[in-house]
Parts: sequence; C-alpha cells; structure tokens
Amino acid sequence: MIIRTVLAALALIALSRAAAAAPLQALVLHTPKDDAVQCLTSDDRMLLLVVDEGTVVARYPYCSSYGRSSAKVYIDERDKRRFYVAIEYGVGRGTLATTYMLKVMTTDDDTTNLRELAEVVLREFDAPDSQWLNEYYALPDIKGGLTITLSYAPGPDGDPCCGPPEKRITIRVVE
Amino acid sequence: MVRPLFVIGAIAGAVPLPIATTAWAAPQTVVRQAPSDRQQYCTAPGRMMVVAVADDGKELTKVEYCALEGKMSAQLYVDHRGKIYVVARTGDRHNPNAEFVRVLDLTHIRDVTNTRDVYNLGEFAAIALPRSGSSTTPATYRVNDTKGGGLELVVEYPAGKPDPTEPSPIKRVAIQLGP
Repeated sequence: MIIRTVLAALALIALSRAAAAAPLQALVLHTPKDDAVQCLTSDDRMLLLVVDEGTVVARYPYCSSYGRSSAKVYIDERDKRRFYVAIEYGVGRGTLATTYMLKVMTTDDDTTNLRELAEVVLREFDAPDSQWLNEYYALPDIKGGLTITLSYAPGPDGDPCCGPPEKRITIRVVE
Repeated sequence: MVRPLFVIGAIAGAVPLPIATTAWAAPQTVVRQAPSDRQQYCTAPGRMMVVAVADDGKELTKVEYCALEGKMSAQLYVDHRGKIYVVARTGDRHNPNAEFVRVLDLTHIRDVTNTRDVYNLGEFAAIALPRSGSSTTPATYRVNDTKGGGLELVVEYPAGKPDPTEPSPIKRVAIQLGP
C-alpha cells in the first residue's frame, strides 16, 4: 500500500512537471507580402510567433537576409511567465555583405510584443569557408534568467584577417 | 574596469596587437554628424551619425549609426592583450525609440602589397538599453576588465515598482567576450 502511494505520488509529480513544462513554440514565418516592417527587399520580411498551446502569446516582425531565419524559445526557470527567444537572422545581402546574428529577446511586461535584450554576431560574409560559430547553447538559470555561451572557430586557414572577433562570447540575463 | 584608452603608443611597444603591431600616436573616437545624403537611411531626419577612430588627427575607419534624439557617444578601450575596442552608445535604424550599447573591435592589417594600412571597425555585440517601465532612472552601463583579455559589458536595468501581475523584472544583461 505504501509503495503504491509512493508510486502514485511520483507519477503525479512527473505529470505535473510535464504539464508545467508545456513547450512554448517559436514559429518563424516568411511573410514577403506583409509590410509590417521595412526591409531591404520584401523577400526579407519575417514574422516570429510564440505559440502556447495554440494561442499566440508574442509576435515580432523583423527582417532576415533571403527570408531565412530560425528561432528557439526558453522558459524562465523561476518565473514561468517569462520566456526568452533566440533568433538567428541575417543582415544585408551579397556574399561579402551579409552578416549573421543571434538576437536574444524577452516578453515585454504588459504586451505581446518582444523586446530586445542583446545580440551578437555569428559570422560575417556569406561564404562557405567563413563559418565562425562553432556552437552555442542556452541554459536557463534555476534562479531565473538565461545564459547563452557561444564558441567560435578560427577563420579559414587561420588567416587573422578573416577570423571571428573573439573565441568565446557569453550573454547573461539576470532577473 | 578596463582602462579607457587615450594614448597607447607606449603600450603598443610592449604588447603586440593581435593583427599587426601598430604604432599608435594618440587614437581617439570621433562622433560627428553624417553627410546630408546619408540622413535618408534613418527613420527621422538628421539622426545619422558617424563613429570614427582617428589617430594623430587622421580618420582611420568609421561606422554609421542612427542616433537617438541626436545623441551618441563612443569610447576606446584596450584589454590586457592590447586589443582595442570601441564601446558606443547609439540608436537604431529601424526603431527610432531604441538605444543600444555596442561593442566594436578595431582591427588593423597591412594589405597584400604591404603598402597600405587597412583599419576596420566591426560590430560584434550589443545590449539594448531599456527606455520604458515605471522607473524614471535611466539605464546605465559599465565596462569591466576580464583576466587574460577581453571585456565585459554590463547594462543595469532601472528598478521599477514590482508588479505581481507581471513577470519578474530583468535586473541586468551582460556580455562577456574574450579568448
């Protein structure tokens, strides 16, 4: 009987955690006909939607080179009402004129808008041998906030002219 | 704190710069209004401004930003490796009400013929400065030193009145960069 009760309690805890961690989804839409934001060309127009169980809880129109972009959403560990969105996007057009960035945003306190917190460069120049970013990972802090760590690889052939500005960048958002 | 850089001619002799050894005289930042034909690229006229690095009176390289309310500032920093950064407080091209603190790195290379110096200011990190909220205290930022090189840019958010109906307020955003 005791074992059954303990098992039931454990199952309840597991279920409630799963429910608490109901995933928010970041949807990136290519919206060339939407003129909510002025971009270099209409092909660069994007719209990010953060969706919670079918309800749009945040929206953010923006520009990204060639209509290519992606986003991830992270829920704050301490205050589940706050979440963070990391958007990868491009600026400019052309092989030697496109820069790829990572922008970190969060919920505005009283609207469904997102507001920008920080951004860092991922790579410059849209060429296959100019891949700077090695990897990045984001860790929500158990006390609230978010840490994103990015590591960068050297430039092609170790050429100092074309390497990343630094080997490591860390973004910390503290509540 | 990373020391603001005013004269690094002596430092350049002792600490090799990462890209090329450069004999600086007295590099400094210059903030000025951009030419009138560049003003169309900002959302309000008269807001495009230039952040430049000049040495010995000669402008070496520059970048353009839209200024918030016509105000912009920039300062040079040098880290333990001798790497030079410009930290600039600017506006934003798309949002006339936004303000950012941006970190740019100053690089210097000799061109392939070894006859010309090429300088570049590359932006690689930025933090937004909050301008809304219940607090009237403006956001502040500081630049901290980091061991082994690099720097840390910290933006302190003004503390507003806590509102239980809203998510916990952001207190601070920091970007640390280095080797």
